[in-house]
Amino acid sequence: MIEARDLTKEFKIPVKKSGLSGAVRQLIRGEYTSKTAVEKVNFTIEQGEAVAYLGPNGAGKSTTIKMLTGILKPSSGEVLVNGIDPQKKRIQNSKSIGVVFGQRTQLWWDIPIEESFMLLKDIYEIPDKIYNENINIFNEIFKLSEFMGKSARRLSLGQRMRADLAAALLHNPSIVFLDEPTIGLDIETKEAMRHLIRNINQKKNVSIILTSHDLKDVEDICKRIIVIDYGKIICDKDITRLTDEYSMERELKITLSAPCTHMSEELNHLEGVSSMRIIDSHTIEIYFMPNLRTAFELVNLVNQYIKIKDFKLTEPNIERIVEKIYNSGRREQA
Amino acid sequence: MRNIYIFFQLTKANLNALLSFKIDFLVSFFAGLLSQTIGILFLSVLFMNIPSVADWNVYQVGILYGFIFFAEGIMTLSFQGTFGLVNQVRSGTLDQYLLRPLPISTQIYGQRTNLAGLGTSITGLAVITYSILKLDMVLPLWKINLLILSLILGAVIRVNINFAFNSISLWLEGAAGIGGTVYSLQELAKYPIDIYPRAFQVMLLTLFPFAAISYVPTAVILNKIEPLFYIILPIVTVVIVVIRKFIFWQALKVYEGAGN
Amino acid sequence: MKSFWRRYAGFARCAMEKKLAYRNSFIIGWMSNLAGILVSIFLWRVLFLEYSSIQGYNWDQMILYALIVAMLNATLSFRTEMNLSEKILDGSIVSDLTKPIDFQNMSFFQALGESAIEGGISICIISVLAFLLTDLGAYLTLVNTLLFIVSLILAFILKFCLSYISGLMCFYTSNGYGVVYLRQVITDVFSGALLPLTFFPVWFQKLSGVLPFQASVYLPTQIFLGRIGGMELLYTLLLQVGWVIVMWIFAKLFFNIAVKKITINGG
Repeated sequence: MIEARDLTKEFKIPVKKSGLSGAVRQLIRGEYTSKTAVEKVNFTIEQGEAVAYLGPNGAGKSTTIKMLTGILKPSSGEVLVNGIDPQKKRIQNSKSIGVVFGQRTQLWWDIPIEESFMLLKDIYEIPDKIYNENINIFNEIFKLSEFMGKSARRLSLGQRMRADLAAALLHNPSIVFLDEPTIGLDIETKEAMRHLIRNINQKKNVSIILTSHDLKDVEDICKRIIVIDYGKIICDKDITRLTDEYSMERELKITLSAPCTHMSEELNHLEGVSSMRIIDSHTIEIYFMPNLRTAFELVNLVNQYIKIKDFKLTEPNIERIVEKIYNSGRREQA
Repeated sequence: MRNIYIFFQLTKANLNALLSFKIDFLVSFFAGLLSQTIGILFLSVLFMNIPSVADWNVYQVGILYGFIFFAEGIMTLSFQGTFGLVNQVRSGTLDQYLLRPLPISTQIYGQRTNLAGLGTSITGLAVITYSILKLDMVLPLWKINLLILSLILGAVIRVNINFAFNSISLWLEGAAGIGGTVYSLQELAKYPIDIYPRAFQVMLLTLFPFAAISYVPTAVILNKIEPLFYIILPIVTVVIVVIRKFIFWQALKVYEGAGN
Repeated sequence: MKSFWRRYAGFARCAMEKKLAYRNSFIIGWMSNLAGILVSIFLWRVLFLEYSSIQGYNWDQMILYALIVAMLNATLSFRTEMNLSEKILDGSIVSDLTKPIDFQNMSFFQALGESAIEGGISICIISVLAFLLTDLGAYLTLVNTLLFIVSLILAFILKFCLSYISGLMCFYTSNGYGVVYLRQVITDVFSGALLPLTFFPVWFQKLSGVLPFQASVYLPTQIFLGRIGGMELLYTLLLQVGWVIVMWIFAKLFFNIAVKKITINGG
């Protein structure tokens, strides 16, 4: 179980002065500005929950994750992971968590994967039985045995990410943090990763905390979404509740027969239209509330300006929902 | 202790990785052997032209060289991870270390294994042995024990000096590069500290205790100073380890407070 | 001719600006050269108390010798040499090979740019030390200094050739650090960087005489210290020129052979 209470992190950033004299002055009596990366974040994650932790770049996501994993010390507030402070009792805490960084590998670069695993087995003191059990699971879902003998350097990105995920799960952690685990991967590998994560979440009741810009990951794996922006939590809800809340909205994608130019101002100010996006010279997306303006009306309106070639009407997907959450959060800020 | 076991496992993995690049492996090893050639060459050529320096002859100075080589070699061989701590922070390696159930220092030690160091330490031992033979000295047992103890303590001091000063550049921003400067100071300890002014002598025994590695044991073995002075060596060892632990602990605290 | 300079001078300028931005770390790095200089100072001070001249060198000459060697070592530094190795090792050399420029010329001008800053800073430090420790004025005659500068330029070009050639070895091994280190060791041994070549046994001096290394360190020092004159001086400068030409051509040939390795193996 993870508990975050009034978790806050402020950074002192040195004001960089130019030149050699500036650097010397900085050393003697440095000037600093304060930046609040995370502000009074509160949430509780029970054992076995699969939570997506989302936010735009620079929102405070990785700072929060670093505090949860014990890498960073909070400026104020507290965090408890399975009842202990992850920063003060670092070694004890690290035995029960697993972390996957999408951009970096925790494997040793020039030795075969199976040797990396043996090292991890020693480091985490994993009993033979559990080790073998897990390797079997990985072989089954990931076909790990196909590349176990190769060094990390020689693996494709898909293979390496699979190996990294397996490495993080080897010691049966009770909580797994995933930071962009599917970035840059092909569909097949993404599916395999999601499969394994779902598997351990459901079968072994492992808590999942996922950060991903691919919202399909979120849809597949997580039941709850926490959104952070400008260091504050702006949303913490179950996915089903969110889709219900936003299900009123519809998306109309129109393909035009000629390039569009200044239609946007007119459409945006129309009652019932939430927003409009120009995809390219011949395609636009309109988000609207069908109870205020019907799809039929919109299609007709657009057709009067430029003849329409095709259109598609869809219900909101998770990407749109999250985008709206970001926007409403920013509107509140302003 | 379990940490020592893990350290050796990591070293094994490093060697394994090295062996997969045969040419690099050989280049490394020979670079290590040759790197000390310069020092030895300088020493022998210098003494072809002068008989002694401050009453130390070529073989006596050779022993000083040998101690420095040995300590340097052990450090290069197994503890090169203590260099470039700032780079490790930048590349996110330190984060990974914080997430593993192991002491950070063990992981830093086990990070790199460089066979060039093996060549260097072997050279060091060879030079000491050769010099002692050429000096026609018969060493009583207690001196031999002293020699072995000094080699071990010397290596410990060397690693900790390096670790401590590299941690400082992690702790205080803007102190980068101080590790490299301190590294070069060991050059001074290859010669009897008699030739340096008092201030340098003290500095080389305390702040940058390279002379504790070379001068102290050698001067005792050669009967140039009272055996009582040998106590400096174990004292310095303990002090430098304590200081290093403190500095590194501080550096970690700063890192955990400030992140990347 | 003018377009040649315009094309390549840009590389020098870029490299200079880059190095200028990092001049602080270079200055701090210079501190490690100081240790070697300190050893020289104290060692020779003790020695020259006993003997007024060793192998024909007195205190002034010995210290100046050590300082000039330090300056030559600091210019075209380890870091600059590693740049070429790293380019080959991380593959970024490919983008250079597709450009309509001569790779060797480009590398030379880049090294020139960086070394201009390194050399400039080094000369300042060395001059101060030389002024404080020795009777520098005696050696700074106009003719002497001019000839010394000419010799320095030749020595620099030669050093570039040597480090360029060893950098090309990185087509065959990925231990860039080891290769550069080996080159430095070999150069130090045969170039007189350790001790003036007259300290060495005769057979060694003869061997050094047929190798290019002494032209990159030893010969300039001899010119500055005024230890050679007349015809021998001319001969020395010509020797330097000769080595520069030989090594430059050799480097070009080596490059053509080594670069085939990429086109065959694909980096």
